[in-house]
Amino acid sequence: MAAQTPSFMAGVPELLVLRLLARREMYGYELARLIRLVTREAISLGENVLYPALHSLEARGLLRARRRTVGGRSRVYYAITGAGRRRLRDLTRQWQRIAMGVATALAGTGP
Amino acid sequence: MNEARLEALTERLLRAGVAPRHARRAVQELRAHHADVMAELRAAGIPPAQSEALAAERVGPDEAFVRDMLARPELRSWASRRPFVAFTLLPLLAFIGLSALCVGSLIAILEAARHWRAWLSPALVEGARGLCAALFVVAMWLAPVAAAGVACLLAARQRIAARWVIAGVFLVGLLRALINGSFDVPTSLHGSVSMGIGWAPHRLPETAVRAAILIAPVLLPYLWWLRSHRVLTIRPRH
Repeated sequence: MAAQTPSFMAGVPELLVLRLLARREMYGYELARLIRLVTREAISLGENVLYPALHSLEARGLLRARRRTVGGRSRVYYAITGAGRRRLRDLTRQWQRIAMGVATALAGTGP
Repeated sequence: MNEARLEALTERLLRAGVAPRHARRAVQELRAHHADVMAELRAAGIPPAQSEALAAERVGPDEAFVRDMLARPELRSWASRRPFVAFTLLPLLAFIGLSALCVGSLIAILEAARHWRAWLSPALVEGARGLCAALFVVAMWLAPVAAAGVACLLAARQRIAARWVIAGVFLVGLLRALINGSFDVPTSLHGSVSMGIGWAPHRLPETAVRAAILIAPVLLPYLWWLRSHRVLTIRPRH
C-alpha cells in the first residue's frame, strides 16, 4: 500500500524552501521575497512563519546556517545539505504525483 | 519592532523550552526581516505610518510565529525536555568526574615526580608538589562550585524551572560536604593524600556548615537572578 499523502499544504513551505535554496544560499528576507515571486503571491503566509520552518530544517540537518556580513549587515544565510537534497527529491516526487492526480481529476479523464 | 516586544518574544520561546540558540537567533532574524520589509516599502515611496501597518501585515502576528516555533519539537532543547537529568543528575556526575580527574592527575604527577626525582631540580620538584596541592584544592572546592555554578548559569539561560537546578546544587553541596580529604605532601614528596566519604552524627554541624559554604555562593546569585527576572514560577506545559 502506498504511503498516505500528507495534508495538502503541510509540506509546501518545506518544499519551496528546499527548492529555492538548492539554487543558492539565501537569508530569510531574500527567501520570502523569492517565494512571493515564484508563486506569484499565490501562497500567502505571514513571512514570520518562514523562520520556524528554516530552523526546523536546520535542526533536522536538511539546511546549514552561517552568519555572513554583507553590506555592513550581519545576516544568517541558509544553504541546503546533502540530506536536504535527498529530501527535496522525495518531496518533489510526492508533489508531482499529487499534482498529476489533481490534474487528471480536473480534466475528467479518469474512471 | 521595538526591543521590549522582541525581548518578550524571546522570553516566551525560552520559557516554553525552545533551545536558546534557536530562540534568540530566530527573533534576531525576525527583527532584521521586519527592518528589510520596512526599507522596501519606504523605498517604494510609501509613507512611514502606512509602511509600518503593511510591514506588520506582511511579517505576520507574533502569535503565529510563537505557535509555529513551539509546534516543532526539534527546536526544543534537550535539557528542557529532561530537566532532572540535565540539572539535577549531570551536575552531580560532573562534580564526581571532575574531582576524579583532578585526583587521578594529582596521583600521576606525584608518582612521576617521585620516580624521576633524581633527575629533577629542586625547583621542579617543588613545582610538581605545588601543582598537586592546587589539583587537590580544585577537586575539593572548585569542582563542586564549578559543577553547580555551570548548572545554574545554563538553567538561567534556558529559563528552566528552578526546582531542578536547586535540587542539583543541594545534592552537589551535600555530597561534597560528606567528602573528607587531606593533602599532606612535604617537599620530600613522601607524604599522604587521602580522600573518603562518610557521615557521623557528631559531625553534623561541621557537615552542614561545609555544605552551606559550598551551596551559598552558587545558589544566592542564582536566586537573586530568578527574583530579578521574575521566573520563580512553574513553567506551563505545552
